[in-house]
This record gives sequence, structure tokens and C-alpha cells, in this order.
Amino acid sequence: MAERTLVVDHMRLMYEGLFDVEELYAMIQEWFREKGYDKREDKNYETVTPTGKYVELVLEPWKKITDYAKFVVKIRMVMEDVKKVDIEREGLKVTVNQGKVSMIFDAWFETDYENRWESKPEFFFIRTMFDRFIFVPYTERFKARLLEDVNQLYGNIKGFLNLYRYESEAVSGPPTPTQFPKF
Amino acid sequence: MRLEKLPVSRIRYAGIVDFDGLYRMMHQWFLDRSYYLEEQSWKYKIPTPLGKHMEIEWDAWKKVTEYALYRIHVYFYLMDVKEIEVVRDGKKEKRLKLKMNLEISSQVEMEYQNRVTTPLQKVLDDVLYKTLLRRDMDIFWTDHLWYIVFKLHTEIKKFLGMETTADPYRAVW
Repeated sequence: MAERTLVVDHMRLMYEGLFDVEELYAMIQEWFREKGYDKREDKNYETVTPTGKYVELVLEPWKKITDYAKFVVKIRMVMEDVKKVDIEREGLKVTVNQGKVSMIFDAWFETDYENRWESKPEFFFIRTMFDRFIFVPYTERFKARLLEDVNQLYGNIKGFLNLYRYESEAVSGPPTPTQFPKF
Repeated sequence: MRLEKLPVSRIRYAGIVDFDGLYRMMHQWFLDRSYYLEEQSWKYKIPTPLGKHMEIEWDAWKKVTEYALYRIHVYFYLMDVKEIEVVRDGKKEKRLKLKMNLEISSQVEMEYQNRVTTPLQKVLDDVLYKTLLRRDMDIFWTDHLWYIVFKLHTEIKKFLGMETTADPYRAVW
């Protein structure tokens, strides 16, 4: 079994207001593709409720750094009460979504993901010694890179959602909530 | 035979679905890509007051080389299925209102013809699998099959009219 070190533990992002589900999803996937992560969508659940659409997504993309180490980022997204509203942007009417978005970010650094150093007790001992004493500078650097990746993604998503909040004004549909988004 | 199993991807949808259309679309998707498709099971359970329950299992496979084969397994679990009529463009059409859980699992099978029998052949097969074809398997076959499955995943989401249909990875493979 691979060794996993938790680097980001339940980092949350909550937003309520105008956004575009399709664009948000596309932005996140595009970001992962540009950074060289492989796509993985564990769960995609959608249903229509009386108060709007409910969408639940679990994305778990990964990126192999070496043949021994890889990054795994897990994003759990829940979008509630998602409705279509018309807004005015630069004089044009566009249709976007309005609802609540909650995201939880987790990231971990996985070593020996091919389980090559577990088949014998001697291998396991050697692996532990190397991980604890010899590879420390490399693993710390890798963990810092992973944390930087997740922080950058978090910032991009925040910026994307803020763009909708300050650029658009709904002209039809349910009124936007007055309370500020929680970040 | 050696297997490289890939993670399962799931789609859960609750709402009104043109299930016939979805079934035909997925069937055609496999045929267009030269997969052999077998419907392994079709289960229909006695209807309850909430609706019918159905389970369908598909197995699709395709030979890549004499040594490697792609296998995709699709499992439909349909709950609370009710037939309804909807009016679309002035025409009445039959649809199903249901809760659907769709799981797509896949694997790369190596040495699927089971031609290795003698001890010498087993040693040579080990060398082939662990060293010579390792790179092909990691970089080419498993990765290729993984993204093929995601193309099917995206087509299903588009058909169901789900919100998350964007696919920046469509140009990968």
C-alpha cells in the first residue's frame, strides 16, 4: 500500500450568488490539464429538486512526479439550488446560474504508489529509512509544490467566482442574496 | 493473463431520461470504435409502488495487439423507474423518470490469449511484462484506455443534459 502524506486538509470555499456551472467546471479541468494532472472524476451526481438543481462532484486528479512519487488533489463540490437567471453583461443579456457552491480541497503526496517497496520486510525497512532520512529535502520540496498548486487553484476559483459577483447584475430570476460570500 | 485495473468512474442522475436514446447512443459509441459489445445481464425486478428496478451489465472489449486487450464494463442501476409522456416541440414522446447509477470500469488485459504454459515461457513473459513492455503499459495502454473511458463519460453527460460536460482533455488521445 502506498504511503500518503496529507498536505492540504479540508480547505473550504463557499460561495453563494451568480456563477456559471459549466464555465466553473471547465476552468477547473483546464487548470488541471495545463498543470499536467491526469483527469479523474470519481462521482458526478445531478438531480432536480423543488428549489433548483443539485450537483455533487468529486474530482480526484493525480500527477506522477517520478516513478516513486505522485500528487493527488481531491475536490468535493456541492452545488445547491442552482437556477438559471438572465443577467446583463456589457449591455448584452446572458444566461448564467445562481446558487450555492461549497468546495472542499484535500491534497496528499503519495510515495511508492506502485507498491514495489513493500513486497518484503527488508524492502519496507529500506524504503522507510530513505523516506525519513535521505529523501527528506526532495519530499519537502515536492510537498511545497503541491501546496503551491492547490493554493493557486483555490485563488483562481475565488477570482473566477468574484468576477461573477462584481461584473454581473441579474435582470430577471430570483434576487441575489445580500450577504457576502464566505471564503 | 495479467490485468491492469483502472479506477471506476460513476454518474448518478435523477430525473427524466430518454433511456432508449441513451442506450442506443452508448451502443453505437462502442460499435463506432470497433468494440465487441456483449450485454451480460438484464435484470428486471418486480415493480414496487415507487417504480421498477432494472440492472443492466455490458462488457465491451477490443484487441489492441496480440498481447494487450482493452475491456470496458458498464453497469446501469435504474431505480424507481416510471414511464411518463412529455411534450417536446408539440409532439408527445415517451420518457422514463428514474434514478440512475452508472458505473464504468475498465482494465487492460495482457497475455489475454493464455498462450504461456511452460516455465520458460513464464519467465520470458515476466521479463516482457516487468521490463520491456512496462513503459508501453504505463504510458500508452492504460493511459489510452483511461481517456477513452472519459470520452464515453462525457458523451453520456452531454446526452443527459448535465451541467458538467466541459472536457479540456478531449484532445488527449
